Amino acid sequence: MDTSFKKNLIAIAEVVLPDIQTDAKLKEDFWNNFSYFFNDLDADSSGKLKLLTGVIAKLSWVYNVKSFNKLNVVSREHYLKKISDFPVSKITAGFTGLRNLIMVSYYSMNNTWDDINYDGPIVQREIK
Amino acid sequence: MKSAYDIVIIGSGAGGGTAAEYLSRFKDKGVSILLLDSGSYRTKEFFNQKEKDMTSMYYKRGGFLSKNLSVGVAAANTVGGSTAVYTGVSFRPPSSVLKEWRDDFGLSFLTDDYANSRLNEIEEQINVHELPESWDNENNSLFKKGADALGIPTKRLKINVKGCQQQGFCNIGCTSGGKQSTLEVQVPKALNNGIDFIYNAEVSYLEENKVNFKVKPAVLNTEPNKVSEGDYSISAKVIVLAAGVLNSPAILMRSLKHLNLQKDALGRYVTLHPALNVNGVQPEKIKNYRGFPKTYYIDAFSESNGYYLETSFYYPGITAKNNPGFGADHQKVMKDYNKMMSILILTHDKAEKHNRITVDKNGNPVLEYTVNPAVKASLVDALKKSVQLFFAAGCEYAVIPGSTKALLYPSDLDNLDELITDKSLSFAKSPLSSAHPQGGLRMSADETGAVDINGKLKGSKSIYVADACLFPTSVHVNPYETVMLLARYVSEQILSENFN
Ligand SMILES: Cc1cc2nc3c(=O)[nH]c(=O)nc-3n(C[C@H](O)[C@H](O)[C@H](O)COP(=O)(O)OP(=O)(O)OC[C@H]3O[C@@H](n4cnc5c(N)ncnc54)[C@H](O)[C@@H]3O)c2cc1C
Repeated sequence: MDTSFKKNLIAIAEVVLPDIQTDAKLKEDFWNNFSYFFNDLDADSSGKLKLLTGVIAKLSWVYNVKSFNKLNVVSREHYLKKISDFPVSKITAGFTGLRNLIMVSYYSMNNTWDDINYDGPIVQREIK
Repeated sequence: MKSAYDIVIIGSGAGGGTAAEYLSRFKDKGVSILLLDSGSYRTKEFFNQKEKDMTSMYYKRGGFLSKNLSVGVAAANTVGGSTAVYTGVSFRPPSSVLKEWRDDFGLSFLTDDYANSRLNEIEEQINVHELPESWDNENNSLFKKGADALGIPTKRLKINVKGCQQQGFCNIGCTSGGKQSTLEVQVPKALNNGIDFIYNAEVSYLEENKVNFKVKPAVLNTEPNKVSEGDYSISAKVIVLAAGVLNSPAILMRSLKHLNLQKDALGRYVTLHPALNVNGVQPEKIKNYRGFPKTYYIDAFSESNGYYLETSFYYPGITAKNNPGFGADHQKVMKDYNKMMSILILTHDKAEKHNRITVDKNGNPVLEYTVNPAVKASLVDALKKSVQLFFAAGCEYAVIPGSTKALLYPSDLDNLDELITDKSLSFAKSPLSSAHPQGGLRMSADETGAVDINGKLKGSKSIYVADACLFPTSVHVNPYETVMLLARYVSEQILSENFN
């Protein structure tokens, strides 16, 4: 996946999931799991999510007069709250879709379960 | 596999699985049957209760969205169809709905007596029964406690399980095979009766008396293909279309060049039971993720306000998705995953012509669906009722989509009318979900019907429909028993019209 998409996506994910801000391993695991789900999307959906991530980064110049990646986390959060309330419903809904994929990618990882007090499945089976 | 069959059935879910099992009983009449399913053959040994692995059996991994992105529809693409992932909540169609279908759509065969006689048999076959109270996990007992405190009557759900190990997440496959899905019951019985079955077989289009499909590679860890990958064309005296609401209309739309169908009736009148899942957080651990997720429901607001409330619970990723917002507040809520109780709100939506399945330029299904204002009003009322129930059950706080406050506390109870409103509930921010799509190939005597009252596709000599597409309107309750009932009826018509 191209590097600017990865950079922007992680910058968004750090706001959605503050715990990955300070844990490099968790962040990398998240990215790998996100990529797993993302690569499984149909071309249309993945294309739209990539486009949206690019739009969020570009709009940052309009709203923040700064590159999205250069914003500190507090400003990024402030900005993403605006995006999630954006008057154009396609952008709001697209952002919700991206948020959902980020959430599912993160919380479906075994190494997040301790933190949310989930013991994991009773059966122990791996799908190779 | 032969080059011609008496009957080719497309789809092994609630409709197709039921049709395959019933029709296979008549092999003494010399009726040859081929069952096709585009899904892989995943048996109970494959399931592992991990959403990362198991969502692969959903169509588009469960991420199929309406064109306007306001509703996500879940349907399975695996042998057993959506019954492989359903919870098994078992309702007979309400008498009032059967009456409406008889009076308004000409389904005169669908008397209470007919429905009851066939469902007695079906329910026995798949072991429908009320679960003992000893099975209730705390989510279920707290739901009852909250409803009792508010004076709202609860009812116990019937479920179809046998030897359930109460592992928690029915919607990502049952590891013990306790759930009596078509994967466990009807498909094995039909195979035992000698039908042929090809999985990973995606039907591309139909002609009169001919089914065209492609066999795709098998997915890792699933049953290997028994026929070579590639394109096939098989002749059939009768074709039974049961690919589900998203795919049956799409298959027909891809077939329009070859068939002479009433185009305007195809794909129309789709209903969804639009749903929201909401969570409240208890002060103590309740481990809602173990035990059977659903034993109680409330139908007290069905007639007056257009919704049901059912107990529920989901795996971590979907729970995170269902909880609104993001950032620190959202993360804090997730850390209380083992204290969460959960309610599923199911609304009744009207069958409207503009809500439909169509296809994109590649022939893939597209759902055009607009949420009716009446459904939104039902949701707002149901969200407020759920909050009241959470606090009556002792929750410390609740996380509610459409609330102007991220977290609601008992002190907010007096202000719910201001906090949760028609305006604050945005489907762009909190999309609805649907696991109960219905309609799309309406069975009706009038011109709105794509299918006649014997189950035959209008304008076709050889194609019948036997899945949830047939519903003329929403059945109001969880639909699988009604799908099986209609599939059984259509199968009876197929026999009497073609093989007597
Ligand atoms: C998560 C979830 C939970 C549910 N819980 C309940 C519940 O508790 N109670 C209840 O009453 N209902 C429940 N339902 C709904 C119920 O499962 C469905 O209403 C029912 O299974 C629909 O039956 P069907 O035959 O129309 O479609 P399905 O059961 O979905 O079967 C369609 C089949 O067609 C196959 N197919 C699709 N396209 C093609 C193609 N091109 N070629 C060949 N095959 C194709 C699919 O792989 C699938 O096997 C639930 C559904 C879901 C998704």
